[in-house]
Amino acid sequence: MNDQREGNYWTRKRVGRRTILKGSAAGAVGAAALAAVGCGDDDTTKSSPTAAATAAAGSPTTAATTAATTAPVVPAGKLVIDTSVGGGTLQAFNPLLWTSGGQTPFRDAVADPMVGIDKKGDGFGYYQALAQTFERPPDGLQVTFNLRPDAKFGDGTPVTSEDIKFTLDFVTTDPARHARKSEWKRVYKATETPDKQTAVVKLNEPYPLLISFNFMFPVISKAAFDKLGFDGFDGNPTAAGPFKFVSGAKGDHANLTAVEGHYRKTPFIKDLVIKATPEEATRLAQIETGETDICYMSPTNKDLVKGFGGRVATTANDTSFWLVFMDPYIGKTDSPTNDPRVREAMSKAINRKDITAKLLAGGANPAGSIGNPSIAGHNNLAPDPYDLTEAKKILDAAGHGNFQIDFSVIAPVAEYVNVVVADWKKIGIDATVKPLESGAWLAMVNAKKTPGLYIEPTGANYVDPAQWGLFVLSDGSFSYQKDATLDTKMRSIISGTDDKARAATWGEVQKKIYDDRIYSALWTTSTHFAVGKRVKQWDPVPGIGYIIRLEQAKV
Amino acid sequence: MAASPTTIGIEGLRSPAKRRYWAALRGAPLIPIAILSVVVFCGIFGNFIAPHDPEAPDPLLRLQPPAWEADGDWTYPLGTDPVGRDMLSRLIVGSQVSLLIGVTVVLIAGTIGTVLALLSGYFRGFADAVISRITDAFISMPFLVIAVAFAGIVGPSLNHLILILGLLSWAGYARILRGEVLRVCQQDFILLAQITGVPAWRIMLRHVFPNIANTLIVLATLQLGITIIASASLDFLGLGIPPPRPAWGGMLAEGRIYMRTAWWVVTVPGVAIALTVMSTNLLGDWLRVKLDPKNRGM
Amino acid sequence: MARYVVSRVLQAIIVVWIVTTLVFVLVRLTPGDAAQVLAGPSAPQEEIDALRKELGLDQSLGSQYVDYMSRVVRGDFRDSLRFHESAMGLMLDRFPNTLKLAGIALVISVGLGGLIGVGSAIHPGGLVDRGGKFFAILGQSMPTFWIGLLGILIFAVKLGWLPAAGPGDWKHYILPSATLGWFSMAAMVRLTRSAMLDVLESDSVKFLRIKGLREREIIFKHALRNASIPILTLAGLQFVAFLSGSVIIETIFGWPGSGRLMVESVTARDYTVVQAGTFFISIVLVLVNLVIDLTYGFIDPRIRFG
Repeated sequence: MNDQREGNYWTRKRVGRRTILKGSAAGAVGAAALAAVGCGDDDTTKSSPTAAATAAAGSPTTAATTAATTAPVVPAGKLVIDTSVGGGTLQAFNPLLWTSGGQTPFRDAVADPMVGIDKKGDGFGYYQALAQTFERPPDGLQVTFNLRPDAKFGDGTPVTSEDIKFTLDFVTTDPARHARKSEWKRVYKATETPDKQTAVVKLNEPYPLLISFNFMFPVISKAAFDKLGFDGFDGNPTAAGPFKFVSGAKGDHANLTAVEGHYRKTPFIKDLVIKATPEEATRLAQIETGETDICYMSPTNKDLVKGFGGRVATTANDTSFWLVFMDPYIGKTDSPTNDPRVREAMSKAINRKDITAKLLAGGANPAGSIGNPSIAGHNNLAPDPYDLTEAKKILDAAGHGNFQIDFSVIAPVAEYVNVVVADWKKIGIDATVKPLESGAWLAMVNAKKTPGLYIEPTGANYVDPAQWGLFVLSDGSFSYQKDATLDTKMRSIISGTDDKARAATWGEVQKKIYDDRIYSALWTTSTHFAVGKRVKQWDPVPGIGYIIRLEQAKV
Repeated sequence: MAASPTTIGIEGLRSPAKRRYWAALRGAPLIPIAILSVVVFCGIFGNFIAPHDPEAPDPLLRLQPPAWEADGDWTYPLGTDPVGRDMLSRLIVGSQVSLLIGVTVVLIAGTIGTVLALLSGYFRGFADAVISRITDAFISMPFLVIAVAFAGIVGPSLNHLILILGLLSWAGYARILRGEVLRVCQQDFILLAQITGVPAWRIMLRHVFPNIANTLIVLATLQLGITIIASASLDFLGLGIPPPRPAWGGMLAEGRIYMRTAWWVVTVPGVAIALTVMSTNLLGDWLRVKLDPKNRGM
Repeated sequence: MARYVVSRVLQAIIVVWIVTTLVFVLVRLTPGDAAQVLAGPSAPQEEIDALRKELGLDQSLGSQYVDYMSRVVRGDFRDSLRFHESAMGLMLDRFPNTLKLAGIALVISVGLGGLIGVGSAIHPGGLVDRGGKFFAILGQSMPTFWIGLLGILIFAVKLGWLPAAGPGDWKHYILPSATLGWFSMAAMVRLTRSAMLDVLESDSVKFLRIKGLREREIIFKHALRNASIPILTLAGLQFVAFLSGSVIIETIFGWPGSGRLMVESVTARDYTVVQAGTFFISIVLVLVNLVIDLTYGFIDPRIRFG
């Protein structure tokens, strides 16, 4: 297990988060103008929540308060970023209504969390955002955040603990939607505000994600919300990010402008335009003509982008792909995939090496365990070798030499599906490809009624093994397994207080999935961005698919 | 075949019908007919003449350029596609799907449209009102919205594709043919037939229909091209034929990100579609002129 | 005459009703309801159920339909399930973008197509006839998305004359509407040529020639005017086709139009927007068809009573 460098894994490269519904490589979201929130300015000593947890009052680093020591930045220029994948990314302008990874660039541009994530070295680390320090007792049942006194919203009003309380309460209320809402409702008790700068968050059980994934709870302005109401605020949000919202049309584009004299990092860019063009060929053409500065792209177009003078930036190994066998879960007892040998044969018939090298243009790596390499505790198990004769032997020995099975994929069908299906055919498995459009696919997943196979891409944006509960817990939304031991282990990861133990347990979970062949890991992909010539400086945060820190970009 | 004086003797031996038949074929657009014949031939015999298996991918062979380019070779004359399948074989076998869809849809839509047009134009009155409203409703429907919703319900497949396209194109036939039926029904011989007690269905079938057949043929030929293009559009939206079956529209849609890095992936199916549709259009235009002297469309 | 108009209007209303009902049923039957899609994939069942209740989706299809119809007659289309903004408002925001595109495409199709058609009619078999015919048919023989992508490649990337995509100043309109228009030009060329030929060989024009009128005046003042009826009819039909068929162009060019909105809303199961949009579009289409029919009925009495 490649973990525990410097005693904490938070500084390691992270894995990306899954794109909701948009399948792989939706990561095109590309970094929007990274606000020039200087990495350097931030306190990176706070980068290890684990360190915090071990200490009773672990105030991670009181690292240098950001206040730029150099001359204040005057934002200038304009940056256009295309977060593509249709309307999913600009569905709501209220940054707290966060339901999909694709919304992250917008969210991070307009809103700051208490603990943020940014590039650190060749991985990522944590920095203090709105919270100057935080403390957590060993039982993990509460977290005390100490706000920076100079923290301000985009409209100039100060950020107080009331706003933090409001933010955390809001996620549990009903018109609000949030990717972790149900989990948060279960875990959250209340927030106390002893004074304007202090917020004590009380929990029903320990919840490490509150710190490690805190940027899912960007703080919004209570006063502005009270004034505008739910819908009004969704059309005109006020939060504390490096940019503030100016105008926009939902599902189409958003215009943002830099907050001058931002408490943490004033962007180098003045005007930021976030738009969404579904067609990749058009997006890349716009990078070439200069109409767009940064966009997501698929790895196959690497040469094209370099050819016209653009740059390709990637985040490494942020999305994990694995094959899901649904029949055992839904109780289809006569399905051949109930037999682990059949699953083994199917896995050995997949040519991971050539698919990742050729079809995914080297932007992927074969994998043996699900999950992303940069997550602490990652168990780097060996992927199955590609051996058709061996696979056929195993299949015959299991007594299922020939069978038909359905294979659901989200349209448009990826190229590697063709290769996998053809190889399976060679060993006697007739996989019928059933393309579904995303809404129908979601229905299928939620209903857990459709038999057969599908390939799950996920992980871009994941920083903590606890986030994989969705795929491992028996009642997880995307889980296709019912194993009590795995449940116990997973729950100890989600509510544990000892980060070392959690990491070790995650490795065990991965091993069990690997040994029992519950899922078959395929490969991990990276998110690729096409960067136009105008952009002088910008890089995505490694290991995560959507953190693009637009405040850092320069044109 | 020309009735020149020196051949008049032999000509006289040929029946007048045959002579008219051959005369009618004069001036036929040869290139379009040749192209269409090749396409039909490929459609029928494609599986036998394709040099490689059009559905067998091989990642190591992906994106080979066509034979005449630097890295190409004649094993794969038109190069290979993004998963390593032979373009030429896919081109040949792909014609099957395109033709199948085109012909079936035209048959279905044409039949429904003609029947409704006959009923509507002959009986008029209430039947006409009802049918016309339904026709208008179908014409006013947002085609792609329906297609997306429908594909969502039943899932994309060849049969469903044909069904969707058929259901959404019959209205065009019905509307245009209704006008023709109305025109024909004004004529005396129809009134005569009605007076002498010929049953309605017989009149429609044996008297009205043959007179609108010309327009129907022209329409059908033109619609064939439109259907092929429409199915390519649905492929673009991801609602087309599921892989691995080759289809020109699907090949074009899937290959479009390679437009600049591997031009043959897009150009081969694109040119195939363009040539086929142009041929049907030119053929349709020529037929229109031939079958209806008054109508001098292009 | 008045009776004719009234009956046509009534029939138009019926058509709109049929279309909206059909779309309502179709979208509701699509698997994956709005609650699931909106709540997001990570949401647990209780949350989806709660959202479903809130959206009124837990009622039977019948009562949902009744509720929907009663709102429609009041002009209440509720809010988009995705964006929490007025559904009809969204539609009305986006529709003008599609309208502008359709309008310019129509100008190209009628203008250029008509010009080629007239040119071909004047000199049948000549250069304009053959070249123009080829050009028009070529446009109709390629799928629009391919034409669009080629256009972007040639005119925006290689030549740099035009912007690649997106809304903006007048330059941004050219590629998308040209793609749309080129595709439909062939029919216009055919029709114009045919109509012009008919008129040019008619007795009335022969008479004008005998009178000594200049050819140019005959063509543009008299022949064209007479041929304009079927041309306008076709123009109306094409316009209608543009309005409802612009999805692909809007997707390729990242155009914020109503076509894209509709298809995205179906995918996202945003029922209210789909319903509002269908209602709106079908009214527009029916209106245009109605105007065409009324004009036709006005000109040609046979059809009126036929």
